[in-house]
Amino acid sequence: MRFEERRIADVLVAKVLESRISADVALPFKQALIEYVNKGNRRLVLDLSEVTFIDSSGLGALIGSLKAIGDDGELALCSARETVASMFKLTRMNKVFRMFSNPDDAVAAFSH
Amino acid sequence: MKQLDLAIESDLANVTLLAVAVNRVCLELGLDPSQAGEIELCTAEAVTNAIRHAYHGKPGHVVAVRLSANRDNLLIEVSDSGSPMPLEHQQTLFNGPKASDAEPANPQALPEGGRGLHIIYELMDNVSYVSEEMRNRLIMGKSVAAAHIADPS
Repeated sequence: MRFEERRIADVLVAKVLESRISADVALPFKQALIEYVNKGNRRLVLDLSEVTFIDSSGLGALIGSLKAIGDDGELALCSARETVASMFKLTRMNKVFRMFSNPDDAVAAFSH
Repeated sequence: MKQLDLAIESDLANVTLLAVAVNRVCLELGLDPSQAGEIELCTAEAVTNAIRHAYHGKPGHVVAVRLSANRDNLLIEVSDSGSPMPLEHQQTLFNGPKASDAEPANPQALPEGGRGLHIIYELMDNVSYVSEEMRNRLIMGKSVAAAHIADPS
């Protein structure tokens, strides 16, 4: 999995540079997210703007990451395209993840 | 009736190629991009399930997809020759998820897997599953009449 990383205050914003989060990449995707937190990035925003397709395995990887991070950190999502956002609504995962329309809003939400 | 047969070896790395092909064929048949995306997703879910569960993640087997279309309906049949789907999973396919699964009250209690069949249930108009003569067939149907009406050609 490829990510573009940048830091805003104490928040790491990682943009997913793959267009698809599907079953074949779900495991390395999850491992990468957990690794970010294990390296001390306690506040993580995942930018999904480049993602055009996510399947149930991709969602499962996000849920697994959220559970693994637990109280050690915070994870928020931003910039999901309509097709990706609709997957979260369909599976009600929009109620589990904090989702924002852009990275700045996600970062701002962490400071409250 | 137009019909197309596609097949891949049971390796998750092949699923995207198949799913993208199905999406493109759906567009060619006159579906709008949103419907084509839904069918791509359901195909990917069904094929991934076949690899993971029917073939237990082992390569070297065939997953076949038959796409059939007439003016009003699109059928996608995903077939394998592995283990049949457990009845409990078939219930999700036909009746949707149990209420307790659908409401994520506590993230720590959420399962990581098992949403593929839920997605197929939600997005497809009708679904059937047949396991006979060492062959499992998941048949997903979508009414596409609206797409054709919207298409001036």
